[in-house]
Amino acid sequence: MTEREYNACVDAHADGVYRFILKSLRHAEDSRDIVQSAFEKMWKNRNAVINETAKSYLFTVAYHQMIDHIRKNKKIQLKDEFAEDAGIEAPIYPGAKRDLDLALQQLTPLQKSLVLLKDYEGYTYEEIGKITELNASQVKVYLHRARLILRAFVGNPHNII
Amino acid sequence: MIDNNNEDKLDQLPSFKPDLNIVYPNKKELYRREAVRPFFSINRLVAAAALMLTAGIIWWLSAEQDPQKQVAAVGSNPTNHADEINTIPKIQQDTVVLKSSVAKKNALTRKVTQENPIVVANPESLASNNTQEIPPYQEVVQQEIVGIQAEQPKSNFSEEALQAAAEAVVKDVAVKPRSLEEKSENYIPLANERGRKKPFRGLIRALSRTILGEGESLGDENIIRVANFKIPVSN
Repeated sequence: MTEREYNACVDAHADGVYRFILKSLRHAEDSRDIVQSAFEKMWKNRNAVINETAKSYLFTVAYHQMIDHIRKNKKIQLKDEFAEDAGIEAPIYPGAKRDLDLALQQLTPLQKSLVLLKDYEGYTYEEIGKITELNASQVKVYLHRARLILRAFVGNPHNII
Repeated sequence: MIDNNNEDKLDQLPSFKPDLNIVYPNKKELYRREAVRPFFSINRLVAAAALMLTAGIIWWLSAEQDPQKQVAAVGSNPTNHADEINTIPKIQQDTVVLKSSVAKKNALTRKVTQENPIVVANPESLASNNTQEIPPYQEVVQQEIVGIQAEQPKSNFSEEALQAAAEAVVKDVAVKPRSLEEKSENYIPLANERGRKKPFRGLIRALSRTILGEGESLGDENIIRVANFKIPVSN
């Protein structure tokens, strides 16, 4: 990968990676750090990265860094959840979009990543499997379970209200 | 496992669409530019300076050895300096005599012979000669008088005048028993008198001796000894 290809990759995929991480973490600063680290790693390994697979490489690196970040900051996340339960107001979104965002938070990090990679980036099961180190069948199963959870959450009138 | 029929049902389940309003805030910090290596880098300049310094030292050392070659040329081809040799009234064996000192008749004397100024000798004899004591002041004066009388054609000067002249000549020379190192210290300035004087020559000479291995013994080879220099000569 040349310098020009790398900078083109920044233009093409920086927003997508940032969106994916931000939706998963729901923390803008941490998401920026993870995206920056992912691009930094790709720049260091640019001689080994092929331009055609740069996007997949970028999402893979970002995904693994996000998982590491979640593991490290588990306690902090628990405190945030406690704060929400304590009555701190969450951002209000209109209509179905807000419901889906609320439903997304019910998923595990892996399920959340699978849904976002599939819906946001349009990856195939095989590509998602490469990023998350699963096989295609596992991706299908986990994704199906995630969607069932989403439907159950959105379909429940108590959750919507 | 999920079969193909169930995949159709998956499409009916809730799905997400990307929010295009979410963009990475500071994309400029992600751009990179490869560092261009300047041609005149510090490392290259340092390497060039070291190379030039080494070449300069080698050139200096080689130039430092020129006086030896010059003295050796006198011995091998006396006709080149015939005028210098002819002006010496009496050249003595194992004696260092330079042009300026010849003019003053300054000489460091050990033995008096009528032979060539430069002789072929082996290291053992040279070592024994170096350990010999130099005769005291009065003997040197007498030898000078004898030498002058024997060499010079008869003149109008009286013996008292010749003696006074000989004493004046010998006064300039500090004659006392010395060790081999002390003698060498006197020889080196005399030998270098013809050449140009350079700073740090003592350091450079020590380096050249170390590098060229001048301190090593020459074995059984015959050498010509001129001043402080040993010049190997083939039979």
